[in-house]
Amino acid sequence: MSVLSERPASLNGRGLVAKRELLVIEDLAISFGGIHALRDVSLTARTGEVAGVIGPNGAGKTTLFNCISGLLTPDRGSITFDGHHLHAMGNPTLRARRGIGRTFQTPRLFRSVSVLDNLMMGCRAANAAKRSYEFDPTLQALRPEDRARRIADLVGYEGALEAPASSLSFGEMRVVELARTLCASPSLLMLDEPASGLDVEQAQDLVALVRDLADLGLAVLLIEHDMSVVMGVCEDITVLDFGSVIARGAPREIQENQDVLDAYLGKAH
Amino acid sequence: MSATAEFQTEAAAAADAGISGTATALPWRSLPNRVLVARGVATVLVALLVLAGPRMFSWAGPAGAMDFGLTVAMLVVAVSVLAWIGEISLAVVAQMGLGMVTLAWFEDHTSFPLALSVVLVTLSSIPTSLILGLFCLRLRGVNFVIASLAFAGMTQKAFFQKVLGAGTSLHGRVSRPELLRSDGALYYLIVLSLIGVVIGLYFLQRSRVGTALASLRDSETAFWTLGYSPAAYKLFVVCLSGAIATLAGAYYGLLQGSVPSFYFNPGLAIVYFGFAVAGGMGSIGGAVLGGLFFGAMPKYLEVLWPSIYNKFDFLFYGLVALLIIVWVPGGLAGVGRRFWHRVEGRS
Repeated sequence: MSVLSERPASLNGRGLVAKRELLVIEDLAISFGGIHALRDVSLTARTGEVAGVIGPNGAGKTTLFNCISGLLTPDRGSITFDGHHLHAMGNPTLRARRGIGRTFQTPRLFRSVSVLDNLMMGCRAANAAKRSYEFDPTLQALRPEDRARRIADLVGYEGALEAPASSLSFGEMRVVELARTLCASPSLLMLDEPASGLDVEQAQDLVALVRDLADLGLAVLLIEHDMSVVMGVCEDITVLDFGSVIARGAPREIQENQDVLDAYLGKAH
Repeated sequence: MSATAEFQTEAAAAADAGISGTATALPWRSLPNRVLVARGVATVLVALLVLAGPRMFSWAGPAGAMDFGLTVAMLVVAVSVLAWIGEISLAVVAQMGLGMVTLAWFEDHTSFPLALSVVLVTLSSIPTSLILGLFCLRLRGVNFVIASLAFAGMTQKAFFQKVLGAGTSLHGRVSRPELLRSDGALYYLIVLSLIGVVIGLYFLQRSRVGTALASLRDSETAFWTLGYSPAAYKLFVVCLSGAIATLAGAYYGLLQGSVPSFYFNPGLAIVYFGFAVAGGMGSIGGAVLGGLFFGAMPKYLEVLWPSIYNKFDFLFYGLVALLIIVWVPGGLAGVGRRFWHRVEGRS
């Protein structure tokens, strides 16, 4: 996976964009039967920042992503993206075209086509939505295939682009899924446990890449269990437990928060 | 050729190059441009087979047997196309019946030439396909299968029984123009249409739309969250399948003249689905092979051994289809693919 020094020359010298609120979630709630998956959750993602969402298993992190990307409809609360209420653009297609990109906890590649076809699916989606690449405007001028190759380089995919996606290792699938999401030119990048399945070195490279993308103007929302990744890359962390926000703040504050320690380690730790 | 296929070909070529002895011992394998030669020979053989058509099997039965086989092949292609989005529809027989009824209506009420009527009949399938497509958007897997079966049953009870009649009092007759009076002449119309459909689907599968359909089948959620509309692609495929089934129905009408309503019994769709599975679900070549084999072969057997075959026709269908499904993974398309890989020298 790429590190800052290896990124394409076109990306160097850019970065540290003005921060603005891109995603604002207020009092979001959703329940399945009698189970409150999310309860009055509020958070904000800003361009140029990486916001982390952590919490024990079943805390509601992926449900939150699903509500933002439109796969689930919340019972109440509001989600505003780039100044627009997301209720007005109900389905995931419209949200993706507006610039919400995401990866999944288990990579969901299009397995029966090649890696290149996966990436080009993202590029064509960007073309159809007439979106520009905020993290690298020079990509816009390239043909989809060249764009896909450049983004594959950017994320550090070193395998054959013509290889069937089904032949990739788990770690490669993660990288290709991230590349595919970037090919679709998101403004908000939502990463669901991107470091799981990666070795330590790959995880470090991921941290560098995510940091890099945020510096280039993307807003990044990150779900992660690997605390070294979360603490290394996030400016702001929201902690969920049983669907509710139990803490929010900078990494150092979160590390010392008693409620967070209780949620992760139990009251008797 | 898709990127994956190219990669596989290159990988196979590389593997071939690495294999010693056995690979170079056969003169065929050392032939330069082997793939090109193989494709050329195959094209010529297929062209000869198509041209010879029913005449080749005239010793075994009438020309109409081959026409029937081609019509069934077209219908099985319609079933198989739906597998591109991972769905199974049992409404294809109803759509086929609608094709026949609509062609009869055009003949009764207009003086359009047959070619125009056939095109209009094919296009007329769009409204019914959209209705079926709405089920497809809401229901998946077995639920859609049941809904499509219900749609077919309803169409037969509420429509075909009234329009087509039953027993000896048949109406909704389709007559052939002078040029297509013989089954031999009709064969060329049907086979050319089928070739057109197959070529169209071949290029569709290798186009951007084909890649998108494969992606949709692999992960609808990822497809959706990437900015594509699964609904649009699903409706497109349901309409495409419906158009092919309706076209098959129009040709079936031309072949049979008049057909009692029970010919469009929704249960028959299960039989055609079996043919699609035996042919290799999702494969267009397999669907053609399966449809042709199971459509034409029984007609010939009826002539060759009437006393035996007529008693056990469904046993033949069932047994042969079952044997293929059990013993030949990937169906007839799988056999064809393996054979072709050997010809081209792939591992």
